[in-house]
Amino acid sequence: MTLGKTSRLLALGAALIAVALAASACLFQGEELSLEEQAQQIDQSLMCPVCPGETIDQSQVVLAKQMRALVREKLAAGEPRQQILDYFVARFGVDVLAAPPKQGANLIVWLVPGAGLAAFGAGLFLVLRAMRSSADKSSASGLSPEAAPLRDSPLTDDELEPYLYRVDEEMSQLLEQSPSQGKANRKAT
Amino acid sequence: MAETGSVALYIALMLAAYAVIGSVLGKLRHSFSLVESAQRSTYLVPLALGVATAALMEAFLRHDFQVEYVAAHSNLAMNPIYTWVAFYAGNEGSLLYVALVLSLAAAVTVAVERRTLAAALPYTTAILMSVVAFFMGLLVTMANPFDLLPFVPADGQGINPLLTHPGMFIHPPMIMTGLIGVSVPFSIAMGTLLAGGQRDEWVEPMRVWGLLAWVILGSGVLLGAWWAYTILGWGGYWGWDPIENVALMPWLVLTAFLHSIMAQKRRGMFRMWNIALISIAFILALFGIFINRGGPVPSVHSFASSTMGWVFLGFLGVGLAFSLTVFFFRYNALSSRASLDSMLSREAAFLLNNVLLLGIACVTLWGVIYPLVSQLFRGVAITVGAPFYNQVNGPLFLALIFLMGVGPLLPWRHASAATLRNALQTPTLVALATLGVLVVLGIRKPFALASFGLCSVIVTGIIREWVRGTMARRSLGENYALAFGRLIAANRPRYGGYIVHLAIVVLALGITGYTFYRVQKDVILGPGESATVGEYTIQFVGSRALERLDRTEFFNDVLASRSGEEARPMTVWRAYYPDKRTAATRAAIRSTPVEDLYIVSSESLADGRVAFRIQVNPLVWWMWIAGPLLILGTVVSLWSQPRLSLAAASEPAGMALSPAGSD
Repeated sequence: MTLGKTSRLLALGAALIAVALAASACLFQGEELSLEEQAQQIDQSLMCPVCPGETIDQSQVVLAKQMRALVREKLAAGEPRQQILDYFVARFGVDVLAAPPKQGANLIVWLVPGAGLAAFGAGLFLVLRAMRSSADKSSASGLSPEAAPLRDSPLTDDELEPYLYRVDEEMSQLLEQSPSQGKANRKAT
Repeated sequence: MAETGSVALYIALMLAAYAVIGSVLGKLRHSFSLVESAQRSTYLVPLALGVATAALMEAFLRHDFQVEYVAAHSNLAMNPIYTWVAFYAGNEGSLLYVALVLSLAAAVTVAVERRTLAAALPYTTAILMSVVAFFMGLLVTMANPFDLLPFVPADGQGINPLLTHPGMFIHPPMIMTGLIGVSVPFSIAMGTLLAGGQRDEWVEPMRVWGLLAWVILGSGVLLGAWWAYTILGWGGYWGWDPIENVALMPWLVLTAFLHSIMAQKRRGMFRMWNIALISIAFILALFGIFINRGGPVPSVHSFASSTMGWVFLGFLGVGLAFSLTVFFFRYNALSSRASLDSMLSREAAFLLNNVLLLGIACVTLWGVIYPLVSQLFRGVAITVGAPFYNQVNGPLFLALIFLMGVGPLLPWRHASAATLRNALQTPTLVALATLGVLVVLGIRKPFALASFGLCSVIVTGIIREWVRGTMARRSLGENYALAFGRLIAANRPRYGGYIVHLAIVVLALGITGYTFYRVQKDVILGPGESATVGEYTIQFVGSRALERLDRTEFFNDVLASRSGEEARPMTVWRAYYPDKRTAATRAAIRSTPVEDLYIVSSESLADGRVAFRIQVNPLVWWMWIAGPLLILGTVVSLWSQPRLSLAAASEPAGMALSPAGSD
């Protein structure tokens, strides 16, 4: 009952966020990058072949400097990004790219995370649904008495708050004064 | 002295082995005295390792270059304060450091958790000391720091110049301590399971030790980022380098663990899941140390590489097999006391948070190992670098931030539509207002907008909780300050958690600003020439060179001014080590909460001109206050009321009273 309503609410919220994101993506996508900004993005996508783990944007060795200069030269000559990347791949091999291309056998790098997450999420959802339905059964047959009064509670959380703080307070005071007595009290209840 | 160190290592190995055998045998034969003597020998291991450490330090200070390790990692020119750094600059020393820290942690665990763990303590001790014994075995067989050279060299090879930075005094030790520290909660969990523990008495020690390892590892990672930013000279703080990744992965899994352990502490849920999480964190931490110590992945951090990788891999396999076996045989002890009532509850939010955190950790692990897989099976070398992680993990982190905003606002057990609306109304409105202001200010990139908007949701949610709680207490007659103080004191894990969330928010602000709005320019300037970057004009005044024993230091003076403001002098430092043919840089940074002006020099040309990289990095200042906030939040969380938390652990039915806001 309430679950249906709240999940509708949640779905609506998610949809709104998605729409807002998509709209802003469409509206503001057309930002022009300067040649230097494009060059820096290419620098950050190319590994320096002689320095482990560094892009040519990070590295200061001579080869990296030459590669950076070449990137700018080619951009100025009007070559598109992909063509420049392809040029370096042809010279140094595919591992010159900081991330594998999204095609061929390397597509697996990009697909596995998504597929794994989806499978994980689906598995978890199934487990939880099983847990919930067994919980529903037990509460329907009256096996879970603590669940019932909560849902019928006429007090909202805000109204409950002061009382709960008072409980917290008194409990900690009780425990501070005489720990042994406090424990005994709680055992008695 | 080298002999003393060697002997101390063997003694430590024997003591550790005795502690393992004595604990297990004593437990199985119900011999209290045997268990007791095994525990005493646990106390002695750090002493023996302390002697070994002191011997190594002494060899460094005396420039005893016959000791191979000393010759490889120091020289006569090295400032003696870097002895501490040189101590763990290579494999042998850092393994000794790891063993020392773990043996200390084991001794403290045995002393402190004696009563809480009771029956499980012998097993916990045995597991901890097995790990210590493994490292000791490596030290005496494959990586003895006291190995002698057949001759005495006149001078050593010197320390890696990149390591001579103040951050290096604490960053590597913290990372190593955090990684190996995961052994403690893991051993507590496994020990309790082996002893057949049914109750939740191990939850609190696991949470406390997990939190300690988490905060040390997290601060270590942040310090590493700061070190990279100030010294590596490319103007970044995080490169998704394999070594950074292997420290991040266990931290993410620990974060997941620290959230879901709260569901166990409060409601007796997710028991099996928590054990699985801490085991994964332990395996990933070992993997981290393995990659650090001569792993097969190329990295800027390969300061120390070795052939002991396979031994490590074997131990990793043993650890994995061990936890799976325990898990399998104690499956029955792990059933949850309560089940999930609703998908709209804090438990469910924790679970989703766990999925995301584990997801990010798995994506990262995949990125680290895919190059190996590709090389092995296809024979094709592949790089998986920053663009992959940014594109795949970026959105996952955003989703996590969203959850961080919403999760804490949900009550335990079940949220009704009214509660939900009530909890989300203000944060949503504030987020929309923030977005409006940002768009007017000219922030147009969708990811940046989403990140800033979600950050405002979290902050509003936290402030609202604080205000509401304080008001509720004030209505009982306390003044504001007292009410706020007592509010936090009444539930430290929760309010400490909020402070940690704020730390993550400021971190996210810095990362977002840097990632989407930094401006960068590489220039070569002669004396008197100037360059303009963003609103800043930088004029190169001139360069001073200073010859040192092993390096030439360049002090490049510049005048930096923001449009219309007075120019201020900055000095960009760079040193060249001709023997090592490497350079070390120190960036000149003028930091404000709005943006950093960041200047680093990459080369001093023969004609007197100097190559500079100049960046304007928005909001990076905020990243560095995340560390102190993280530590503050953890301290508040750990300063828990032991009696109350014991009561919570043993009497969860009473806590079901509180549907929202009082945990």
